[in-house]
Amino acid sequence: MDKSTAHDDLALVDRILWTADKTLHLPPLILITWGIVAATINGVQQARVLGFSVPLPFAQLFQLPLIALGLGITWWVSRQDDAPRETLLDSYTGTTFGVTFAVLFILNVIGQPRVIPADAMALFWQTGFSIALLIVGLHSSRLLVCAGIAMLAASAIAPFASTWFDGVIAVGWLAGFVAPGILLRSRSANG
Amino acid sequence: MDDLLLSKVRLAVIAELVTAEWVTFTDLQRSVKATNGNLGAHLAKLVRGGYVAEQKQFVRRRPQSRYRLTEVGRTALLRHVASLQALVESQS
Repeated sequence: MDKSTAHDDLALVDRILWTADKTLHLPPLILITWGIVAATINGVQQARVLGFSVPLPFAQLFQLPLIALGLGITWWVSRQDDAPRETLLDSYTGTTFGVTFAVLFILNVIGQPRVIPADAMALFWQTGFSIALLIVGLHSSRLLVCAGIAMLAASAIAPFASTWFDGVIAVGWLAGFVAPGILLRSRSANG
Repeated sequence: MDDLLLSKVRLAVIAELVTAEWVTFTDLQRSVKATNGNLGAHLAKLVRGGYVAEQKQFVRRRPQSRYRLTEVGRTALLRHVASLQALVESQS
């Protein structure tokens, strides 16, 4: 190989590395699904606090099927996703959200009935995912940073909202997951 | 120099894969601007050499081939680029 060919090959590698797609391709339906799941769980709790008739066993037991539904939809959307490539950022995002979910779920199952009050656990879920949104957003998307800030703001306001605690948390999930999911979906629909 | 990476198409494929977790055959074809058969032959060599891992699956009932860079491929690219740089610098 001569110098000219070596130079061309280096230029080829350099061009590919610089122009490669390094953006995030987050399926919006996954964000919307988990936002609705979390907002529903907190919304039902808020309804109970406000005096609506929701039997306690139902209020506690409907959460697991709802989370299972969320996992099912996430799996289905991932299988249906015909993206031409998965960028390193996509992979990193999946790991960040996956680890956040797993840690909080284990904490919820082990700690909530005995050690952690339900309200504190709701705060843990929301702050945990606001951290995940901020980490991913700071690497990839201003929209997700705004979503993370909105969720963090809801977590900060909720403890001062007394009887509306769960309602504020639910609004935080809608602002942090559902709203950006709808925006991302409309953006991808408009090309 | 790495013999497998002396081909421009194979070098381009490895460079594309280093920036992604995985890439589909169709997207690689678009990126490196190779014909179906040409890219298939080059990818087969890279898979045989252990530089690239191939995964075949169905997405929306259509077959899809995905390729990801292995550790062997990543190391080979780094060594090859270092050799190219050394060659350019030695003759300049």
